[in-house]
Amino acid sequence: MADKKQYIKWFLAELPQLTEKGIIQRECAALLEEHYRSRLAAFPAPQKVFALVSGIIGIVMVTAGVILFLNYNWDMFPKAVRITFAALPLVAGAGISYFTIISGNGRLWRETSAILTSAGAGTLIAVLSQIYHTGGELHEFMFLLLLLSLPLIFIFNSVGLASLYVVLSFWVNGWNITPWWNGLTVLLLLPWLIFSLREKSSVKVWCRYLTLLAGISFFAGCGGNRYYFLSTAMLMCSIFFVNGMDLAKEEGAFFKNPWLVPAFAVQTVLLAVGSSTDWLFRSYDSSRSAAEMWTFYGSNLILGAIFIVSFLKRRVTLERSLSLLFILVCFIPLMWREPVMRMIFNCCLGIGGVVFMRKGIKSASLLAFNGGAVMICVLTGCRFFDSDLGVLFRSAGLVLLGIGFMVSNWFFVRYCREASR
Amino acid sequence: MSKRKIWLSGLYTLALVLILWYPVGKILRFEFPAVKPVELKFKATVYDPYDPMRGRYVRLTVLPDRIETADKKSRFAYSPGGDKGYAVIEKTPSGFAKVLRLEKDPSKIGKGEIAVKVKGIYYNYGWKKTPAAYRFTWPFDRFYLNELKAPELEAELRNRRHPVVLKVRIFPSGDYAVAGLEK
Repeated sequence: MADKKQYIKWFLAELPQLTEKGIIQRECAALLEEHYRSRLAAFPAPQKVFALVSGIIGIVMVTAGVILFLNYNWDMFPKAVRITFAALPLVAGAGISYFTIISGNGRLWRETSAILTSAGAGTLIAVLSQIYHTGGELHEFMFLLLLLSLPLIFIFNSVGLASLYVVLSFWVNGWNITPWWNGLTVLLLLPWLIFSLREKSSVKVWCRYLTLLAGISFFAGCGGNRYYFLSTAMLMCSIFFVNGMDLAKEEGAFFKNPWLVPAFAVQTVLLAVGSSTDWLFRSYDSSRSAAEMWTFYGSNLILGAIFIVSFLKRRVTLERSLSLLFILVCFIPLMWREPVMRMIFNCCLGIGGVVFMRKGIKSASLLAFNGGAVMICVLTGCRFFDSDLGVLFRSAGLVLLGIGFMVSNWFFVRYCREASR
Repeated sequence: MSKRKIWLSGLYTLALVLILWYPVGKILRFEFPAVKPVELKFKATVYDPYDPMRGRYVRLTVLPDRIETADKKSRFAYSPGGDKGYAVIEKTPSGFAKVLRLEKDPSKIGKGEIAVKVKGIYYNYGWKKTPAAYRFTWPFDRFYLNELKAPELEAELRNRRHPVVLKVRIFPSGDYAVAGLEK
């Protein structure tokens, strides 16, 4: 993609040399410079990004201060006065929001409008429960507040409020809560996240991290203890992995792709645990209520649809197909829980290792080669420790495994260097 | 004003109406109820105050939090935080609440009966002379105080042996509002 800031900068620096050597005409160089300077100006400047981030932090802090001020519990005032006080942040938020919409102000104003309106709603609800002493649970309050904040994220396209939303979604969580609440809060934000992840979005890199956090929140809330851990975790990892592979092809900088490595690591850990023990294949149907089962089926259906769309978006390759294989394998224990599953997981790790190493050698990619090597090492290591060998044998084996990993890497780096000549 | 701005203003107004729906509804329900609420008294003990965002409050253990039963097996599901259900109560001549029974299904609550949604229901099996019973937690478990008055009251309440009296208004819908705390 030509939309890379560093490539454009490099090309602009090359232009005088190209003109001097007569490779391109001066007029052509001037046109190119003008075109690419305008492209460069369209990128958000680091100062702008910093100002936006510090602006959002400032808004959040000021709002938190106002909430604390109102929560002082002004019991010397009559109820009507206290309710009026409690409504002030919401009124201020509404005023600023209408002003922002009508005047068409920039991002910081939009962020302020969204956060202030949402915090105003939260303050009013919290102070009312204080005035009437109605108590209530934190996760109930959070669920209500997040649902009320959701339209504001869409209306103002507010990345600040969306970030707060994802962080606060971890609080719609815990024992004895309605199982689909947490999943629903995360799924409702999904359209905005997908919209913000598009190529033209100025906050796409931030939203990649936010999506990862939303995935963890979804899973932390209702995946670990309420769903079938294995299948849902593998489905989610595969979504991130397939999209991460696509991003790896497009993006140069490593930090711009937070999906690939964590998803691969969790996939490998799941396969390794599945190949060593059968506790991942156990399910507790009897203790699950109908609501929990529907939550499981519903969310897996949505995640499955997202995976299929992500999978079919690009050309189907052997590496991409691996994720599909892993998902299918992880859904087998729902019907069939036998020790054979462990064997299947061993095969998956082996196949994965070979496929990624092959890909690494074919495309001279150190990342893919090492991914495959890690899978093979994990498989060998797990089976090695399962075997009934003495400690001395195992220590020697581990040392050999490490040396083998380093030597193969060294050879591969040399191979890549020679291949590039 | 452009079409886009008109749309955005309309959408924002809609969002604002949604936001206001809950608090305004709550104020109207509590201040102008269609049917007058019943004011009941509950005995309560005090523990563990303070909330970082909502300020000072006293946490209450509201009594009675146990009702004996002839059930040989729990009618409520076992879950880590206890099940939820409805406590059907009546007002004694002294104004205190007396728990008549616990119901899982709200349709089994008779017309005119006062019921409050309770949480954390556990079944205690009977043992020798101890009859089987259900333990539960009332939803009104806190009383907010001004941070200057709170420490004094908390210290006073913690050191005394007899419980405080909590006045609660119970609405026919099952909603409640704590009306006051009497020492």
